[in-house]
Amino acid sequence: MVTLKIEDLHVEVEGKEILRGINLEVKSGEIHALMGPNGSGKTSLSLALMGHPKYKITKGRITLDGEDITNLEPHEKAKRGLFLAFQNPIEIAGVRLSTLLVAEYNKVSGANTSVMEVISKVKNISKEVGIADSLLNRGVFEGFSGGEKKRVEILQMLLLKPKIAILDEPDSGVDVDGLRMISYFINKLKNELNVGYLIITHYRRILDHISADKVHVLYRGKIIAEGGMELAKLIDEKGYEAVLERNS
Amino acid sequence: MQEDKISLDLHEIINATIDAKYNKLNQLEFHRRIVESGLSRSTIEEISRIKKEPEWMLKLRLKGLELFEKLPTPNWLPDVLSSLDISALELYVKPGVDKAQSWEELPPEIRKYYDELGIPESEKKFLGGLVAVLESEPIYSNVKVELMKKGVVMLPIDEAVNKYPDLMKEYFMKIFPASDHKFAALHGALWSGGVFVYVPKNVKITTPVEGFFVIGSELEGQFEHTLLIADEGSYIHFIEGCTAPQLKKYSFHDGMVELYAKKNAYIKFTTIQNWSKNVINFNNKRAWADENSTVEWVEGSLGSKYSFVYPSTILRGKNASSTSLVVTMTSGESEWKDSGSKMIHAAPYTKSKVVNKNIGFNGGVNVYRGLIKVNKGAVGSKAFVKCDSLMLDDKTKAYTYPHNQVLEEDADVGHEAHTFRMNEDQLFYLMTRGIDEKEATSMLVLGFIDEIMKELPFEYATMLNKVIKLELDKLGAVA
Amino acid sequence: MQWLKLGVVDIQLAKKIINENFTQDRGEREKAFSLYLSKPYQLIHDSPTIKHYTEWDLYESLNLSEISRQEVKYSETENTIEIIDDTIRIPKNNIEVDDLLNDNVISSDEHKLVSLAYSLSRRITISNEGEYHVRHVVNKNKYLLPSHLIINVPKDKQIKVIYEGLNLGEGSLITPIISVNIEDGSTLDFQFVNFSSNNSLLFSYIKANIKGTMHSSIFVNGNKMGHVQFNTRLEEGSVSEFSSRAFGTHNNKIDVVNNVIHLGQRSVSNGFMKAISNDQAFTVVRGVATIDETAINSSTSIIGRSLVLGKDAKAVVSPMLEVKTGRVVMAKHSAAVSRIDENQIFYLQTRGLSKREAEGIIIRGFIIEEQDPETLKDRIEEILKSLGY
Repeated sequence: MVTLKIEDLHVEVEGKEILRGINLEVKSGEIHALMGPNGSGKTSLSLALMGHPKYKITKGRITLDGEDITNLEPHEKAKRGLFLAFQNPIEIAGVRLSTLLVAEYNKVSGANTSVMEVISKVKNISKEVGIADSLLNRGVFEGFSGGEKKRVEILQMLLLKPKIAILDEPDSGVDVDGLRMISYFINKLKNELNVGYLIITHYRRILDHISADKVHVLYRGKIIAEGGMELAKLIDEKGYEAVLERNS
Repeated sequence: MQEDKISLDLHEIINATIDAKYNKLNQLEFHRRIVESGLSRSTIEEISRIKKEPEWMLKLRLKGLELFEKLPTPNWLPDVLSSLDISALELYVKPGVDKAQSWEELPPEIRKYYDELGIPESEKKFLGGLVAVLESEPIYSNVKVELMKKGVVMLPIDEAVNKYPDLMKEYFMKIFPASDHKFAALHGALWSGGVFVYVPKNVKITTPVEGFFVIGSELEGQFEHTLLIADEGSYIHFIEGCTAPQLKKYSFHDGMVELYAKKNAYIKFTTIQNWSKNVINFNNKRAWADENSTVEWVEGSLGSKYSFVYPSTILRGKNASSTSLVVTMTSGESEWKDSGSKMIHAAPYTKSKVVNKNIGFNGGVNVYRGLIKVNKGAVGSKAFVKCDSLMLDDKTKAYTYPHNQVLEEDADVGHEAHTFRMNEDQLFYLMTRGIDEKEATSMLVLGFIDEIMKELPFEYATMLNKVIKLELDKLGAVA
Repeated sequence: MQWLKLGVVDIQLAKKIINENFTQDRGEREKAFSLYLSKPYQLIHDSPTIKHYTEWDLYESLNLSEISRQEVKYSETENTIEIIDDTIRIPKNNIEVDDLLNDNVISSDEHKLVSLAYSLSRRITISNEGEYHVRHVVNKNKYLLPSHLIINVPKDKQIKVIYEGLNLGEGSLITPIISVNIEDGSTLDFQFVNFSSNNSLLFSYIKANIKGTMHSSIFVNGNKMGHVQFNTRLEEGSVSEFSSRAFGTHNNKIDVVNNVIHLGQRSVSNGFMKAISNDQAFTVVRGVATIDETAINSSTSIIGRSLVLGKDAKAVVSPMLEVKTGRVVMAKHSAAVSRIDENQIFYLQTRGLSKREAEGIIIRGFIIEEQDPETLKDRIEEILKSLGY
């Protein structure tokens, strides 16, 4: 049982404070949804949690399984089982996707598995996730469609088997089949490996397929509401204004 | 007040300069030729005496002359200039009119001239003050009460020499030193007319301010100088719009613009140049940008036969930024537009953006010469250059010569250059919507320079619009 | 102490070699050598603020005291040419070697150092189909080892040439002059690799007249001063695809110039110019792509990218374009200089790679190319490992 604990987190970017005291806990096997209007700081939270250099933590701390990981380097967090699926991952031309997948598998697992073995694992997963083998030979995200990018992020999640996974809008830009596939695997990892999730979603499409244990609403850098699925339903029917009114 | 006219055989001076390319002419020979054409120490002393200048200004002019003789001819001067036919041009002809205090005082021919340009309208609606340079001499200055109240200084630069010697001494030809290149030195020796503007601390002038230059007489070399200092926290948009009547012989223009944006200041400097096609235009433009300041250059070079303009900024203070938007158009055989920008990043977190759009047809040549230099220590600097050339027919030519020198590891510099034809698919689409080819072409051309059009005040954009349409009429016409 | 700039080589020694070492074209050699003595390094045609990027003084102050005798020896290894110190080893068949100076593509007066190289080298000609390996190696110090190679690809034939230059001498100069002619329907696959110690110099002048197709790859590492000039002239319907890479470490100064002239209709050029500057190195990637009036419906696309890795490293990118006709399909040039994108590093870190590992993977992806020969890939690996990546 592992807990990702965020305590009174204050984050600044380019001199401006964008997260103003976040308190949140995600335990193994739990699914948390983080919602909020655009600009509320959802993606910023995900990047700050992973240790993006532009995001400065000015107060508070982050612990994973009891260990203070606030100031660790991103790769050290990855090795400790924290995973982030990016909303819009960056292109890295010249670096082959297969090269990256082999490297990251060995880094995070600490093993020294042969290239062939990793690739065969990758190919099995890519079949299930719906990624053509040809993509493996392309530059990382070079010319990938939005849907392809999301699938590659999920592929990596399945490859690395994290303890806690942060998914930044896994449902945006994905078609119906893609959404079903992603939801399937989120649930699969939760049931088989007890993975805990923090899912960032704007329109809660994914919540049609996944039941969240808790829903948090972020607004202007603060969590202003927490509840169960009924909170998500309220937002769906009446928009964020309803939540703001309720909690103002 | 009658002065003697000073005759200078600029034709011979320019020819000597071109002959001196690649050091083919030794200094003694060069000196002899220019003295014979009327450019000598005594000529300079005479000019200074007539203008009643203090000793320090005379010294500066003489230094300019010395440098003009010493400095090598820029090797990048295109060989086309050797076929120039500049006849003897008269320098510093003072028209027989004293300074006028109001519109009605101007001689009727001149007034009619300005009427055609629509100045009275602009004066009423937009201007805060106007200084007009006619034949190297300011004849009309009218500083509005509002500006005076704010403490803004705007007056003919000849007057500023005596009225604001401290400011002049500190900045005049310091931002763009005479030693920079041969024509800057020539300017230093012969400069005459122009405007001096000083905006005090925290004064923001929201309406654009204009200055007009007119080449009135046929044989005229123009060496006007603009010095604009925006003190800390101030804001000014200055517009320089020029026109010239059809001349029979070539005119030579070697002007200079020096801008200084102090801490937190903002200067936008717009020039629309539409001189007739027998003018050779050299315009030396440079700005200093201190901490947190912004300098924006907007340049529309449509007229003249040859034009050499490179708006440049030295980003001296942290967080300073500068943009340079230049449009050039060549619409005739042997027209040569040479433009570009120099952005020197000499402080951390500075930003620059250069957008250069060239339109060419009927055998014109557009050249982009630019330099982005990021000095060591200018961490966090970002620079971006976009240089596009639109070729409207087979005969035109486009050259781009960018240099990007990055001496600092923590810097980001990008450059893109595209040269292309009019997109036939787009043309076709517009025509299927009922728009004839001419109209469609001008729509696409205006779309091409939209980025720059957006930066112009409405009146200028309209005028530019009209001018470009007129120029495009020449497209496809037999030479 | 001021460097004595007596010139690239000891003049007396050079004259002696010209007299004693060659059996043909002695008069031509003497002419070429005088041309070398009298010509300046370059005329500046460009911006007023930019002078030369190559420090020609470094060549002038070499005062080399030993010049290769280029003794010809015949070997059994097919299609391999070895120019190593004092010896030229070539197979008996298929490749010609002679003492003539004449070259249809590169004339002596094209560059000061071309005239020097011509006056002191034998001429090697490849004109038959096949795959060839050239090794041009200097082991001695303060040594001049020039070479003059002609590659003539006859109509409808394919030739591949891998040219490996290795300059291990201290203060030595290696000058490969390579002239290429590709006829209609023919293809040349050309790979030029040069590794030099940080104290030696390189001057290479490669020029190609192309009617068919040329794929080229140029890679330079090392050098106190390395200047490579690659000029291609494209005739009707021809294609030139090239990639040139400058990898500067320590105090290296590398200047790679890629000039393309489109003379014929529907000619196409496609190029990548890359550079890495590490430590205190200075790399320059530049060149002019010209589309002449006669080259209607041609296209050129050249992308330049420089990675700056060292705190004191410097880079210049200067992609120039001259389009002399409106009937152009496409003409574009782009160039960028920056450090490695921190967002890319971050992404790789979230996947478990340390910062160094992330940089290493990105640098490798940038500088290694698929079709590089294994020897080159190994060499690059060695360098990267020695830099800590």
